[in-house]
Parts: sequence; structure tokens; C-alpha cells
Amino acid sequence: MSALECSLSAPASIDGDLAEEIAKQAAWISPHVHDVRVSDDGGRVLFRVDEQADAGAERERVERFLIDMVRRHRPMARKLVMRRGDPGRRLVADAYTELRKRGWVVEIAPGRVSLRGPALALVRALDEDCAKIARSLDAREESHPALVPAQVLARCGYFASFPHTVSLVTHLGEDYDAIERFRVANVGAQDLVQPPAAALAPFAACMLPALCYAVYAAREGSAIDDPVAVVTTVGRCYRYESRNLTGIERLWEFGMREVVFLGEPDRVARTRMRLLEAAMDQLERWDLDGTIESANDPFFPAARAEKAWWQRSGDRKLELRLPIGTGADGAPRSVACASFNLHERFFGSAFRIASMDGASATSGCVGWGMERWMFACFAQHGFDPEGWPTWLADRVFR
Amino acid sequence: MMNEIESRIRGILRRVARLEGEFSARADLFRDLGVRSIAALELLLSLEEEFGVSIADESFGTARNLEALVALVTGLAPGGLT
Repeated sequence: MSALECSLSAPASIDGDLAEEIAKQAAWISPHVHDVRVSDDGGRVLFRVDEQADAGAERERVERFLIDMVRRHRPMARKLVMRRGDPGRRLVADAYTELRKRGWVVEIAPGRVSLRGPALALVRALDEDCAKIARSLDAREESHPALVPAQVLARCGYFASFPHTVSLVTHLGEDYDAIERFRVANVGAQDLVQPPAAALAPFAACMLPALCYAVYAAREGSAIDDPVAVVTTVGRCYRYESRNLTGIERLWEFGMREVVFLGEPDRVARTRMRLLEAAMDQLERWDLDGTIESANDPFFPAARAEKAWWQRSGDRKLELRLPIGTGADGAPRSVACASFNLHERFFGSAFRIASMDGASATSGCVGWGMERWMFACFAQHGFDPEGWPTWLADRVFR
Repeated sequence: MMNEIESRIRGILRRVARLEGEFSARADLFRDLGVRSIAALELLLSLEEEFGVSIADESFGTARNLEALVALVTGLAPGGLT
């Protein structure tokens, strides 16, 4: 399909960090707008529009997107909090291709992978290691359904912050004739025949985008009877990433181990610090290079400036990033494999959870992304067990 | 002068954070007065615009009540505020 090359003057000068976010978030502008990128000098935004589309309307849409991205953007460098590094380490050039070639990772659809053999063994070993960290903090284990009531996410402000990534769950409405029409349309069909939108019930559930929401909802209206209560849970998370669903770095469905802590502010902050230190010890055990840096969530552009700044300015979100190689431009690439978050009283207040002093509980959470960690581990250690820590090689390649 | 600065910042807080009635200059904006985190950036930008100063994010992050904001703004204006 041919496309028109377009460019717009940036509404304000765009720094490198924001340029990266613009390239990612541009996936949601329109199916007819492609390859949005910021010029090297930060002064122009370049993109392509499908020839059969209304170029004027698409340009206006790109402009609205850019204004939202740039409005109130306050540049803030990523702050390096901790680092572990081996300057001599050589990374595997394309570990994902090799994982697929060996059949250890099977991409069944964009953003969805099946795991086998050493890839699966590694994810299991990681989960056990993270659960051990959680137990060292006297965490209680819990299990939660992946299907979360939409109302729970509404109260978490999820639709106001991340409407673009949420996976809504619906079903055919209770209408015998409409269900029969859908059934008949699909009898013998090789490809799915979609039902009309009117046949679908309003969505009342979503796929859980992070495990901690379920932990707060399960404590609604309760009181924490310790200075800090620590909970751990493991499960699947779902975040739609549009065109960014490529490879294993951005999955629609992925595994996560989370540790959630609620209680008094100083105890919550101290628990996060203990988990940061535990993550650095974990890098030692796994012999992995990594950095812990300040970060922000990928909020929808119109909601981005205030929330991203709040997270970054107070180090409320920190990410553990593991190097995975170099990009086409030769620049080093890394992927966020764990995050360490403080929410102040947001969830305590939303779910009326009280701390021992009677005030709304403060909360924090730490989550490990299973598939990304596995991928980074193969990228750093390679595919020969000789290069791995012995205990880990025994677990992964046995 | 200090009272005038305090009064101008009170005005900004009322507008940006929708605070009503009287509030103590020592009350924590977020914990005690319920200012929403989403209003923090607008508060920072409004202070910079109102007083013609540049405020470091870290300094703003530790100034959690009106009294601290007055001290912060006052300290940043080399020639004094008018």
C-alpha cells in the first residue's frame, strides 16, 4: 500500500525521552498513520499516511496527539538509582530469533507466546526466586482471577489513565436469535465471522492489567492490622499494545509475580527499599547486568503530562532494566523487567483500606515480568550452559 | 511582603487545587488537604509563571505545605519579590 510522506512542526522542541514515547504512543493515532518519528533536531515530526485515507483529517489527528504529548511536558532525565554491570559481557545479537528457532518460544499471535523447555524452566526458576524474596518479607500468598470487574478498574482510575491498553471482556447478549445467527454464520466457516456490535453485551469485566488491583479490591473496606502487610501473588496480565506488539518485549499477555505492601507510609517506603536491595542481590545470584532507574507509566497522551511528572519527580516508579543487545542504530537496548512503585494513599483511599493509625493505607508494589526476564537472561548468558551460573544452568538445562 | 506572597500562593492553591475555606500554612497539601497528585504539575507551573522563577522538581517535591512553598518561592527570587 502506498503512502504519503508528511511532516509537521513540533508544537515545542522535543527531547529524546519524549521522542521515544511519541514513537510508541503514535500506534494509537489511526490505522492509516505510520512510522511517526521525531526529527533528530527535535523540531519536526515525520510520518506517513495511507494514500487512500483523508490526509487532512489524519494530519489533524496527528496534530491533536502531538499537542497532548507535548503540552506541559517537563523534561526530566532518567535518574540512575542502582547499577550492576560487567563491562566485558558480550550479548547475544538476537536471542529472540534463537529462542524461536529452538522451539523454546512459540509466537502464536502478536503479543502472545507459548513457552517450552529451558525458556519455561527459566520462568519457573524466576518465579520461585521472587516468591522466596517475598517470603523473606513474611508475605502471604494469594491467588486472584484474571478477569477483574470493570468497576474495580474504574475505581483505580484505570480507564482515565490507560484507556488504550485495557482489554475489555464481553460476550453475546442473552438473545437467543442473535446467538443462533452467530452460530449459523460460523458453521463450517474457516475464518471467524464476527457478530454485529449490537449483539454484544456491555462489558462488565476486563483482563487484569496488573495483579495488585485485585489485591486492593479483595481488601475493600478492611483495616490492616500490622504496620505493614505484605502480600504476594502470581498470575497473567494483559495490556494491549497495538502495533508495538512485536517480539517478546511487548506482550499482550504476560506472566507477573507481584509483591504488594500496604500500611503506614514509612513502613511502605522501607519495604520498597528492601525489595530494591533484594533485586540487586538477585542480579548477583543470576549474574545479570542491570540498572534501576526512575520511570513513568505509558499514560494515554491526554492524561500523560501530570501523571508522568508526578511519578518521575518523586521517584514513585523505578524500573529494573536489563540490557538485551544493540538496536539497528548501534545504540544499547534494555528492557524493563521489574518495577518498584509507591502509590501513596491512592488505592487505600479508593478501596477504603485503613492502616493501623486509622488513616487510608499507603501502598506500594513490586512486579517482575516473567517473559522479559527470561529473554534478557538468554540475551546476556547465551545458549551454552557453560556461561551460566551453575545453580541456574542446573535448573534451566537439566 | 511575606504575607503578600502567602496570599498569592493561597490564591493559586484555591484555583489549581480547588481548596475552599481557610487552611493552615503547615497542613500537608496532599495528606491533610487532599490535593490530588494530578494537580501538582499545574501548581508548580502556576508558581513559576506567577513569580517568574524556575523551580527545581526536587525542591518542589519536598515543599509539601504552604509555608514551605512561600519559603521556596522567596528563596528563589534573588532580588526579592515585588
